[in-house]
This record gives sequence, structure tokens and C-alpha cells, in this order.
Amino acid sequence: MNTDDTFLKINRRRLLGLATGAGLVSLLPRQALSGSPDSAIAGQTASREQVRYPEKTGMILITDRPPQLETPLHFFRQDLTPNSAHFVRWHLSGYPTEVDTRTFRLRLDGLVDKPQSFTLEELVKGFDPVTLVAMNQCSGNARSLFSPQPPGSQWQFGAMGNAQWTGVRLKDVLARAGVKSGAVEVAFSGLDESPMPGLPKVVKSLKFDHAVDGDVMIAYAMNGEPLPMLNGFPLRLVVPGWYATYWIKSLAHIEVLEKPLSNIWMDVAYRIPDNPEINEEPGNLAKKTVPINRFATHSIFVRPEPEEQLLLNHPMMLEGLANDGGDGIARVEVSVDNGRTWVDALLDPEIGRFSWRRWRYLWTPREKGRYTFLVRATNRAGEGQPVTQWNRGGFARRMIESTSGMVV
Amino acid sequence: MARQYLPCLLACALSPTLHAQESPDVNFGQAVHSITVPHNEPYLLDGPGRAEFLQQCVICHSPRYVVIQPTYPRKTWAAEVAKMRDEYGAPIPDAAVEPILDYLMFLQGKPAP
Repeated sequence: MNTDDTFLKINRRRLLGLATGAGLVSLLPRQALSGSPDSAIAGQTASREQVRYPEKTGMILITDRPPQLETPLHFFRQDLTPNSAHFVRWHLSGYPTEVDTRTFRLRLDGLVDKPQSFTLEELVKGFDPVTLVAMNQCSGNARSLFSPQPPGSQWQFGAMGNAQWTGVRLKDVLARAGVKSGAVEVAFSGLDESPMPGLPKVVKSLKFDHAVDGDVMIAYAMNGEPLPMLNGFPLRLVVPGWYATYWIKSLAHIEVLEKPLSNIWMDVAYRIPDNPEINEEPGNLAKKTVPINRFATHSIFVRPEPEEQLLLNHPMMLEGLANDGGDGIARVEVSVDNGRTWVDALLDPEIGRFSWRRWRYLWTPREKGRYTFLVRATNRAGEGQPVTQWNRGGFARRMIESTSGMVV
Repeated sequence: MARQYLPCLLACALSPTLHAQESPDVNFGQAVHSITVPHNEPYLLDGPGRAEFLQQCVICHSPRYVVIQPTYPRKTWAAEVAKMRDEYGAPIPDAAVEPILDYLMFLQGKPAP
């Protein structure tokens, strides 16, 4: 057992002694949540190595081939996440590392009158450009914090980012091809290929009505610059308010379908329990699952960072961010007393209903010792956050989050 | 990285909804956009089933997909191998499954039962 394990065990025991009632799990510090007395082990405490990849800044290495890189938490102290720090997640080792912009084409076919093949210039010059700020978030963001810890990419909170996307409306592009009647879905795939011939490509679909809602876009710029290769150069589908599994990178093919897409990416992977809490029990899995969809209402701490030390009598600006699936955040509340009382945090101005919204709360430590803060958000539709949550895929994390450390 | 075209950063950031703008002057950079990704894979210690693990698993993905995981019981790993085979199409022969599981258990510091 290494020292981290010892530390976590001691602190878990301490916290168990302090915490009572139904809110127990939410009161545990973040790191303690990564371990479970039920699982075979005491949680993942593997080191989180920082690495540099092309066009990216120092990122936390989750995997290398294909790459998955997590954004360090401190980048979330600003509204827009720099392109160089935006998280990376590819499924297949045949992810693109080279694109010839002269020969690249976006193909559009299926249930259309006139199949299309667009050059980059045709997309940029041939359609009205649109811009919006939207948060992008991996379905499995913060998976490593679930207890027991589901297999998968062991992210903390950095599998997300906020960016200003510029591109063209998907509905305008579809209209150019003339969609025939009977269209039910639109399918999307990118330049990424499986590492072996014959294995399935990543293909995802949206309901046709969603695809033409005017918000879904094909982005050719991110924060005013071309996308980094690892974030989907040259084109990326942006599905505002929906999890990133639909934001197909290096988008190269769009197909209008007359029946729902059936493949592992829709039928087996990326599915969540069919209940509002997105919750199930390890011993009692949900009978019915659905494809993951809109972002759940959620909020996290950005400062203090996990286990950051605070100074007695020194005012500290607690900071974080909250998001939902597009209705907008109405309220964020913080508890500095383990959930007994809640106070409203101050919300930053809204910069778009698909953007995350940052919040602040000024707090002055008046006693030395351990602190634990909780945060919960409510959106304009009244959706709040549950105290606990678990599901087999570690998806759509939406439970009340906490952060802990010492006042010294 | 140099700003490659003028963004409507302020105006757009302040707008709550999607809105149209003048056609941007997008510069995709060099005709061929290319990156070179460094090798950064964990070295695999010798152990039971290593050959099968290399041949059947590492051919498609880095061993890091395994070493980042918390410790799981053998049946959890068996479900992962089955997922790779049945859902993602990895052509893993039946005879390789148990040796792969032996190696996964070995990597987590547990003896192959």
C-alpha cells in the first residue's frame, strides 16, 4: 500500500465518523469517492502524468494510443478553454494525423435528392456562417469518481471544455442536398478508422428533427482558429447541450437515414439507465437503457483544487462552473457545513445557453481543520442534482459534488 | 499559435444565441495539416500470457488502456475481453482468452488462479 492509499483510508474513516444520514456519499472528499469498500480494491490512485502532444499544452495522460488527454482543472478558471487545453478522446487507433485540405471532402448522401461532396472552401464560402459558445463534455467525464469505479477512461473533471465554435448550420447543409420525405435520422462519421480492416467505424446518429433544429452545426473554427488535429481538424460536428459522443471529429460523411441507425455505438455503447437520475445499483441494473443524450444539470468546484490548503482568516473566492442541457442555469448553491445549510453563489453573466456558467462564493475560514464544501445547481427547468448516483458505464455524472482540504 | 483569422470573439461571446455573421476569412494553414504523435506506451513486464496479450490486445491499443484501470476481479476483465471480441470485433481466438486474463491479473499484481 502506498502513502496515498493510507491517506485516503484514514480520511475516509474520519469522514465516515463525521457524516450522518442519506447524504453520506456526497460528503466524502472527491478522492475518497474513487475508492470503494465494495470493489475489489481501494480505488485508483495511479499518478496522473502530464504530457505534451502536438498542438496541445501540458495535459493529463489518460491513454496514448489512441490518445485520451484530460484538461487540468485550472484551465476552467476562464470562460473559454484554450484549444491547446481542450480535452482529447479518440476511440480508434486509426485516428487521423494528416489531412490534405486540398483533397478533403465532406460527403453527404443517403435519403437525399442530390448527394453532395463539399470542399472546405465550399463550406466556408457557400453557407451563412454561425457562431456560438458551447460546452463540450465526454459522456464519461468524472467516471473515476464513481464508486464502485466502472471500467473505462478514468477521467476526473477535465473531460470537458467550453469553446466558441464557428461553422455552418447542419440544416443548411442538408437543405443543399434536398432531403427526401421519410428521413428519420442523420448519421455522422469521421476520418478515424479502426486499427484493423473490417472492424466497425465510429458512426453516431441524431434524430432528424434534432439534426435540423438550427443549433447543430458543422464547425470549422474553434475559438477563432482552425481545430487542432486531435480535436477534429478540419471539421467537427457540434451538438450543443449534448454529450461529446455525438460531436464527431474530422467529420467526413453525413448520411440521411430512413430508419434508425443500429450499431454498437448506438445500441450497446454510450447507453444510460432510462430514469431521470441516470442511476442504477451494481446489484440491480436498470432493465431499460437509452442512448446518452442531453447534458444533465451539474456543477463542480474549480477552486479550491482538490486538497488545496486554505489560510485561516484569509478570504478565499470559491469558484466553479455549472452546466445543463440548454435551458440555462438558474441557481448555484454552496454548502460549507456538510449540507446543513446552503447559500447562493454569485453567477457570472450568461454567455450562451449552451455554455457553462461560472459561479463564485467568497468564504473566509474562521477555524483550522478540515473543510468540505458541496455545490449544487438548478436549471431554469427546475432540474437539480441528486445526492448520489452510479451507473455501470460511469456516464452522465450529475450528482452533487464536493471538495475537501485543510484550513491551516 | 498565431491567430489565423479575425474572430468575432467579443460580439459572439456576448450573444446568447446562434447568429449569423459575415463570411469569415478562414485560413486552414498549410495545404497538408499533419502531426507526429510521440510513442509513449508502457513497457510490459514479462508474465504469464504476455505473448497473447501483445498479439491480441496491443495490436489495436496501447497497454495503457489496461494499466490505468483500478484493480478488477477476473470476471470483470473477462467481460472486457468479451466486449472487445463481440462488440468491437477483435478477432481474439478462444484459446487466447484465458492467457490474456492471466496476464491482466498478473499486471494488477494478482497471481493467475
